[in-house]
Amino acid sequence: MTDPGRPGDEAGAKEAVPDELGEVALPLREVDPKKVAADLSKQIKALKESLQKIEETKTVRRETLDSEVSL
Amino acid sequence: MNAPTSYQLLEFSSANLFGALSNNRCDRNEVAANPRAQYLVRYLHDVSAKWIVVEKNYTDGDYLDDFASYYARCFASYKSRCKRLHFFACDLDEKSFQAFASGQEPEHAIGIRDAYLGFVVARPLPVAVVGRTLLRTYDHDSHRRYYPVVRPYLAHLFGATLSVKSLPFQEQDTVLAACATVALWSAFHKTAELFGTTAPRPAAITSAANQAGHRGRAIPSHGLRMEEMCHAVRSVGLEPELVDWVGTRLPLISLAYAYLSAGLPVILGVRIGSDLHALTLTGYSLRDKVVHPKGELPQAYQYLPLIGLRIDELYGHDDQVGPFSRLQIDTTSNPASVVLKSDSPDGSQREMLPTAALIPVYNKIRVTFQDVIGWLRRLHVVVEVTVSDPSKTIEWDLHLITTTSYKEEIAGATTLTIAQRERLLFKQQPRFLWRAILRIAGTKSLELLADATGLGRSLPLVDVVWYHQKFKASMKAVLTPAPTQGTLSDILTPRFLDRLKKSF
Repeated sequence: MTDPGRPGDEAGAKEAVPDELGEVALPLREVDPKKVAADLSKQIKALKESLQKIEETKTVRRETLDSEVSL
Repeated sequence: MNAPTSYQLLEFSSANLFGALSNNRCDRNEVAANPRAQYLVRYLHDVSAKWIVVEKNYTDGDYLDDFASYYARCFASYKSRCKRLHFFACDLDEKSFQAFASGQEPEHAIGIRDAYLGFVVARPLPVAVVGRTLLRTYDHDSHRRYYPVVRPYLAHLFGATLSVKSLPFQEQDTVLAACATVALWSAFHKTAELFGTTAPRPAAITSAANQAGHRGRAIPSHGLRMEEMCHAVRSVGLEPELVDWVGTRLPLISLAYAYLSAGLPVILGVRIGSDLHALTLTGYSLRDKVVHPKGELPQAYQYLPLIGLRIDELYGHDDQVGPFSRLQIDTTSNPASVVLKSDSPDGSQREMLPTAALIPVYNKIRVTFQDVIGWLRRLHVVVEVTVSDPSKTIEWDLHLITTTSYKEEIAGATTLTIAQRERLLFKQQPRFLWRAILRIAGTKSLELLADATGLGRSLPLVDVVWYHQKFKASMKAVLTPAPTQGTLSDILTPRFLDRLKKSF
């Protein structure tokens, strides 16, 4: 299940073994709705922290703008 | 047949190259001590150069502009003309070359044209003799090396037209151009092809940059502030996408890949010791397996497993080293920063710490890498609960792409049904897209397309393409049950959740 021409796809192409439906078997979990809800809830705090850190990367400091590239 | 005096044919060797680069103000021993000349010897040897054709009297537009702006007004009498050194990876002799250059043997010409490696302009200066240089890249080495930031150039050599895919390089003269100007000059050549903007010469770039308010005299130029570099980008009609790296937690390698992949040059600011330097990234090396198992970021912090985990080298035009020079990526030796290691001519390694990235983008590319990473980070939480061992099996490949390139790729994609392809191909799309491919255990499973011309904070998603039906079913089982809707809305936002559910 790979497209030609995309740099990242060679890795999958070398190991891909299609099943009877023509799809490569993926390491998927059995979805248990109760367990999923609990697993998702546990991730919310870490997600908010990540999103905050991503926001912080959007700021360019004055020091960086003023730094002289001179070597 | 008499050999004309307008050229000289030399077998490729370091002595012949140094001699050909030399002039009456810089002899061959001085050239031999120049690290850029030493780099060129190694590079040309690696790409199998066999013969040099020296075009003795060449008018180079970039040098002529420098000459008119500065050298013509020096007391010393500098020459206005250069030499141009052409390199070939085939055997040549006077007879065959003269026939080729005068169009007498068209059947023989194909082999010579295919063996063309590009050229180096030798400037008639006492220092910085390596002028405009356009050389063929290294080969892909089993689809490992990618050089998206190149474009085709024609070289007219007497009666022959030659072509090379490259990006211009030159060493800084620290008169009209220091490293920052040279990095911008290389980058503008590629953005001119991508966006139809101008590719000004070094003197014009330095002059435009200094309009931002240079501290001290502008010429001779010893460097530019990052703000001045941004001003130079605006002067060619583009917008400077500036990313600060010091103290931030931004995945450097994946960010560079995201823009490079679309052919956009990334100008990297780096710290070498206590000094700052700039170079233009032109490519990357993508491995089959993860090469940074502890993550792209220092202190093991990771938002997402991104494609940068498989990139072990970046390639760049570094005016202190040479064209397409290698930067090995070290994510483990320094706990505070990614380290880029570049080879010095003396065999030692130079360590560079990235400080900032400047990407000259078309004004309609408004949504940033960080904007899209934020949305993917939300979805990643959900993907993780459907996949076993997610830290080892999931990879997000985020990159910018034009709708034209995307549709060209989709038109030939055998992994989509005809109905999927038709839906994507006949749908109107924005000119610029952020494309995120999710690979699970190396298999493309999902693709998200976001409008790069839209609003980063508002969901910019324009399409969801499922490549794997069992994964799609698994995600549907997570995203649709009523009891989880509140939690999922918190994680994804109601609009993103709704958009994903509509894609089933």
